[in-house]
Amino acid sequence: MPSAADLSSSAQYAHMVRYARVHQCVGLAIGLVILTVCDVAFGSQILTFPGHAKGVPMRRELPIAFAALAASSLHSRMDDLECAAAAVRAYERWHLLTVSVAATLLVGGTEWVVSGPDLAVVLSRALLIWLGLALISGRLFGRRLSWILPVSTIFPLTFLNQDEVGRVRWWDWTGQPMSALGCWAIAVLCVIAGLFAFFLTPWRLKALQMNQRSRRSSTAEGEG
Amino acid sequence: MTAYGIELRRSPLRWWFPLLVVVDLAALFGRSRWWIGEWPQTSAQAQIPAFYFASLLCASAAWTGGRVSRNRMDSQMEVAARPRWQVELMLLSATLTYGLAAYGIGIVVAAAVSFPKAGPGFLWPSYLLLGAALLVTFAGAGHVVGRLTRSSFAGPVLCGLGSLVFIAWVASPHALEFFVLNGEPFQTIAWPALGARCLVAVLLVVAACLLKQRSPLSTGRVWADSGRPVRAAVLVILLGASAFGLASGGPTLVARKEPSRPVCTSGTPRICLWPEDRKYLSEAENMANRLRHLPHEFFTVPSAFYEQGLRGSRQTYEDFYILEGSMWDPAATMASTITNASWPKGPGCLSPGDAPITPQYRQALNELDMWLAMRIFGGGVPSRIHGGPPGVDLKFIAQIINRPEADQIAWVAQRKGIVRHAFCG
Repeated sequence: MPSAADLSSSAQYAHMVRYARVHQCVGLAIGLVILTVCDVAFGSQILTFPGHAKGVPMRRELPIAFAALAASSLHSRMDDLECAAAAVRAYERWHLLTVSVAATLLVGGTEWVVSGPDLAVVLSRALLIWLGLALISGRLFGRRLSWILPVSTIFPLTFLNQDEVGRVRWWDWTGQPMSALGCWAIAVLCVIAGLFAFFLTPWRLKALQMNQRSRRSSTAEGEG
Repeated sequence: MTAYGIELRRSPLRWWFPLLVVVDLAALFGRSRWWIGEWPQTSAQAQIPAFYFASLLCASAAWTGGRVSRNRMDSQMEVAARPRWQVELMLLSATLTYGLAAYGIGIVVAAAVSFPKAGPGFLWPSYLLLGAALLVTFAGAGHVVGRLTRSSFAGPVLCGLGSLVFIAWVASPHALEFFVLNGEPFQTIAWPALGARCLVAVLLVVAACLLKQRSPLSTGRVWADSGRPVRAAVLVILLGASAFGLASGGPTLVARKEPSRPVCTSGTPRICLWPEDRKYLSEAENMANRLRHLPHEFFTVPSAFYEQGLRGSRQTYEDFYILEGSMWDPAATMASTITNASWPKGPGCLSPGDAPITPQYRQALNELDMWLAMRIFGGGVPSRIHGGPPGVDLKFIAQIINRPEADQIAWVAQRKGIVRHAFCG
């Protein structure tokens, strides 16, 4: 006869497996591995962008794919039902934490080995920025479309990132060195905004609106 | 037509259209403006936004392309009054309408700003067509992927990111040449190569429309889908033709035939430009004027300088090239041409290849070269240019050219002495 503790832990395990299955965690893991392999194999391939004589190595843009995959994996085929399940939120938090740490370690670790610590830090920072943007995008357009905002940043980052003299602008987080404070500020801002977007679930948004409405009506009554 | 209107209103791009226009304008004016007033460069610049639109159109087409299957409407489509290919063509045209409209707005704006400054001529349609072919190709590819994957995640994300990487990597000017980065007047787009790229676009549109999943109604019936071999044949023929075209069409950018009458400055020395580059003529006049005032006792100035390509396909290092609208590069090229023309001659002097290269000689030569370039350019090095020949202090030379003429001649004479010593002992 299993003890109560065993039962609860095995039940929890079953829950976790079910969550992982619905969120296609095997596919996510395979995707992360494929991206890492791409980073190692093709990272130094030169992408030609308009306005760049030399082009940009692919590894500078690849964290976008990591961020998009990580944030999109929060989507589930049962998202309507999950909205009504409080317990799922706890798993979601673990999911986000795990997948973010995994993506950061994969990007940072790969770059550390392949191109050295400086680029590893720069690209991990870029990953955090894109991850924050992906979470915002997921809240705005739905989690399946988490990739929209990170991918949209490619235009300013590749085309508008240099001034007339050819210097990299302060906000170009793929081109500025590790020590650029402006990019760290953007990273902090994006992570905070991303987390805010993650916690601002539809019901929290609704509660906020209700709160405001009741406050407004109570003040209106007070005045009346 | 009504159905097309409905698809226009249903397309996810309707919200993105204003953003597309903003991106288009930012791509035109956000980075550089030297292309204004030069028709081939303006055309190439108006084509640049297609690079960024293509991946957005690809993602959007993948989203719309998978919509019918995603919502399990395949069976309804089978029994609809309109054939399936018309429905798909309408979906794809709605996507393309938004992309091409934003692209078109950019073209009109580019032409409008270029018009007052540029002389006779107009936009070069070949560049614009190349950009349009890029848009159609990737919208078609997105539609195909959307119809195959049906997913609302995998299709669009694969297309959005994948197409961007594909365009920048495989379709880049260094590989398949589906777009160009700039439109030099001495280059033009080869029509066979452009035709091959248009054929690829047609292939993908046809594939997007003809692709058909096997209908559940036709299971087990031999003649149920009699159109299948025909569709397959059409696709195979188009695929073969476009592959053949890409392989045999040659490079997209080819050298242009030299003009019968280039635009030249008056007097000697002459500076000749492509007629499309005539907006640089007044600057070239000033440079010719400064060339006339170089100290003749030290320098032999050739009677004419030509822009690259004006003397046929013969690529000489003496022909200059206007890089990003700046006359600095031409000035530097002219300086080295003058240096080559003014080697010390006389009995007992060595030929240029035989002179022993000492550090002092190299330093003097580099400094003279820089001094000449700055004199011809009419000022110091533009801030956009970084670096110069090794060991030369650019700021110092920039100060020299502001000194009185006699001082400069003394400075030049001292360096010329070192060079002469290396040659003639």
